[in-house]
Amino acid sequence: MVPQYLVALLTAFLLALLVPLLDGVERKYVRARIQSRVGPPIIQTYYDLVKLFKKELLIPSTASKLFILAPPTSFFVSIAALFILPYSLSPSLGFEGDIILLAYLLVLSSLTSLLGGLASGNPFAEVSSNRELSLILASELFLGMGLAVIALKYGSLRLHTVSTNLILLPSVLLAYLTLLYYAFIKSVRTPYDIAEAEPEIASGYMIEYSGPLLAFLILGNLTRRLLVSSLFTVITFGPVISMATSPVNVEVLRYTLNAVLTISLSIIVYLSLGVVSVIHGRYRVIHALMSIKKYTLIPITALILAVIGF
Amino acid sequence: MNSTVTVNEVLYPVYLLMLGCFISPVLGEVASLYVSSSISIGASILMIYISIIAMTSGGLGVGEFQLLTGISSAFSEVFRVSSYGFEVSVDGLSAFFIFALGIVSLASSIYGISYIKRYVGLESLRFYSVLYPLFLMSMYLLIICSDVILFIISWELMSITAFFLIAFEKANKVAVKAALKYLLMSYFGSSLLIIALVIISSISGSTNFTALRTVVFEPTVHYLIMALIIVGFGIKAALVPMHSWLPDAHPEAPSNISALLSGFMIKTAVYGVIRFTFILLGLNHYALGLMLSSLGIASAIYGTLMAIIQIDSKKLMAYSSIAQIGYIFLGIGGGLILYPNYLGFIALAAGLFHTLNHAIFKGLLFLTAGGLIYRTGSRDLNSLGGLAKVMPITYTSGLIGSLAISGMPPLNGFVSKWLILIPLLISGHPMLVLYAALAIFASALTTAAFVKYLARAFFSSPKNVSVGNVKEVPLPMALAMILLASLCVVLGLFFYIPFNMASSAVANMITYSVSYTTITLQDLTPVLYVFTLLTLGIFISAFIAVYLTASHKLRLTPVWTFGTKDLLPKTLGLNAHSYYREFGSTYSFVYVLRSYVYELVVRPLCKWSTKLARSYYDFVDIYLPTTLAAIVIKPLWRWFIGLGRSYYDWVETYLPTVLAVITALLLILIIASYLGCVVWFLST
Repeated sequence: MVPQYLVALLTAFLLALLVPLLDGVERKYVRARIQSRVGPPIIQTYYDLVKLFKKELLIPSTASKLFILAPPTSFFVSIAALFILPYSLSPSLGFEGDIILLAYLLVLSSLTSLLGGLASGNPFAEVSSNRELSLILASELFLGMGLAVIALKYGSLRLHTVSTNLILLPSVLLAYLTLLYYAFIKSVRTPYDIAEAEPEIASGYMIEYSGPLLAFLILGNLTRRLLVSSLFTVITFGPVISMATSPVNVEVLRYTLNAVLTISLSIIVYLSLGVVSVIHGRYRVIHALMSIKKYTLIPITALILAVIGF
Repeated sequence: MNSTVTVNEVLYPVYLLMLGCFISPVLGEVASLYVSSSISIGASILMIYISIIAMTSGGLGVGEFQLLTGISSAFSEVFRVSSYGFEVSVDGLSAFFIFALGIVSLASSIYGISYIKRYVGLESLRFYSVLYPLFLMSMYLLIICSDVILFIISWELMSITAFFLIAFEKANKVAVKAALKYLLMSYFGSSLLIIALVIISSISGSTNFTALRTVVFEPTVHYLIMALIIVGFGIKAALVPMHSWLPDAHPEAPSNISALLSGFMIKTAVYGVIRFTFILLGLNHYALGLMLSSLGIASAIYGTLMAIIQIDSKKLMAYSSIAQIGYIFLGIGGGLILYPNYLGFIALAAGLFHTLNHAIFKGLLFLTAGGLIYRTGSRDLNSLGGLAKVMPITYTSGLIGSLAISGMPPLNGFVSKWLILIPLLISGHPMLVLYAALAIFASALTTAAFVKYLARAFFSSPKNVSVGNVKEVPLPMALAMILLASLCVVLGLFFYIPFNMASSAVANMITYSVSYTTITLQDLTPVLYVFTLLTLGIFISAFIAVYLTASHKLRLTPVWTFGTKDLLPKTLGLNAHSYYREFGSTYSFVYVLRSYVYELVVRPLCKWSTKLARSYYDFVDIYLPTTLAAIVIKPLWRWFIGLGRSYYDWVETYLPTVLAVITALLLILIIASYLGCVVWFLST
């Protein structure tokens, strides 16, 4: 039991440390390529982080202690969420309802960084948190419906059960689509990064952050980005992967193979969402919400289909 | 297990609170506040002690409340029902509710010592000191009684003392109006309740709870009682179509009273529903579950949607109370719908657990709002701001309370919401699944509402209130907040203790079959791992924060706003009106729906009832008198007037004439006799 928890924790930390590399790849081979630029080296994000860690600490005079506490907390909360996610698709880690815990941890992680930004007392942070919470509101309705479909069809909300049983029904497929879109909204990339929006509100809740605190904030954001792509991958591709690896008899080998496959697929999802993001401009606040409202038709349709038996 | 509390000692808090109520009037203003608060603190500690003993020993037996035996025997004489005196007993359910009451009343009593002193010279503190223990006593008696009559007496006592406490600021017209609205609605509810209870006890022939368990009703009576009980308790619980008193009344009461009202008084309805429908009457589980869960989810959505647009901090919390009560009833209703299934057991126990949790964090949040009122005199989120640095304890408690009510792990609110959601989601019952999906949305809305509270009260720059000379609240208020805030954390991290308490309370009253189960409590151990990890993460973050501030060169800078120093910060940023405006306009249909309901249902109803009232008034005041006048009074009046007139005529005209005539006759007589004398004298 215990070694498996340790392995999961170690994986979570390793992934969190590898995310900057992934971001580098996205910057060099996705964003720069599409925008016809040369782009930075792929370890540029590491350079940025190291430099930030060395810088002095600027703290607004109006800020409370939460301003300093929030960025590392936000990072560790995303680590805890990564810890729950069963990359190896092994049963021992999960428990009933862990998807909901994961969703709450995602909200908690972004909420912590928002509260940290608010604690700076900067009015732009207030505008930004207002935007981010409006997004959270709209997307939680979205997620709730999607999870409802999965719960109806699987009779369980345990990640292990959902990610190892294949149910090919229209409603479940639509629920997968919902999760993909949720991952896209939550990855805080261009169309939906209204809370950061540099040209309008100067990075919003991050406006007062600098030095090591900013580094933690960036790490937390990147980890969250990987987390949502992995959540989608584990739920959607998990059944296929576990079917593909089921002939492998040695348990350790099978779980390792599962983990390698899910992580690589997660990376592919991460980068593909990056591609979608690059070819979009940033939404206005109202348009971002309108689009989510429009796409809420997907989970609603899925729920209706699920109830009538498809 | 041998308990150290006998059932008659269960009544000690009642006697103690009565003592406080009787002593207070003879003391001085401030002395009475101190005495009644300390007595209430003592009684609250006793309540917690009793509940813990009762829970560990599986409930305390039956005893008699002797002070009211006279009333009891008189009642049994008059109504010819067999009476065993007013019995009290503490079973698992009562013990659980006493625990919640004890905690909230402890914090609220400690808090009141300082807070109520604001009103010195403005209101009568003695009035408060008498009512406060009485209010606590009525709620305690309500939970421990096992007799219908005693239940009604304590219910009414609770309602009326709550009314006086809401209207404590007599000079404030809004408060008095809100209290009157509460009183009217509350009495409508209790009259329905009394009808239901009278029907029940007349059918069973006894007012004792133990006798009610064996009653069997005809189907029509059965549904009638169910409807009466749901509406009767629903008004007190402020479930959605019956909620309108709560957002008016709760903000107007003194803050520690608001904490008690939202923290416990509305939960007495939860207790009542569970007590009467599960344990005593065995009403149709499925239909009742459908009703309760539908009302619950409607309350949850409506309450949170309204909470995010409020600009008054206590009103925001009041709307959120409606939502959280909705969550509780969603759990309870779900538990009833899924009846033989073990999932239902979990939903039901989680609903109870959420009752305790909501008592703690909503109490806490009202106390923080009270702290802001105490120091700044304002609860307007538009004018508050920037208090995080000057009121660190209030701010930290507010932060913990807000995170807890938003259901953020590892705090207590998360566990109960999560345990309500899972059974509903995986039950496979389409309606419950939809409700649970909406409940996730309501949870996000709660987060938004309380981030608004935090941001506008503590973080952003103040718009009107000057922060300069604001200090932290005095020690008793701070202690009360620290107590509740630490409970939010402790009950979250060690959630299995209160959850086991709740589930043993449920296990006593209704038996679910474990064979259906897909989740058991052992499955929750990994949650503990995650919570440990989170706590560890927060500790490491704290270390990092300390390390960073110690090792790095710290430089304090002014807030950066594009170099627009003079504009800062009064004109930049948002005011409370602008929060979630985009969300509101995108999802405007929900608010539009509300206004439609208002226009199409509430307003016509109001008009109609006003018309009815006016016509009643007209009838009593104009038609009735005129009709009566035409038929009875007018002839009488005429006769009377005629009588009067004749009397008048007699006095005014006849009497003088008669007198004149008599006088004249006398005069003539005198003159004649005089003349006669003269003539006789001359002739002789």
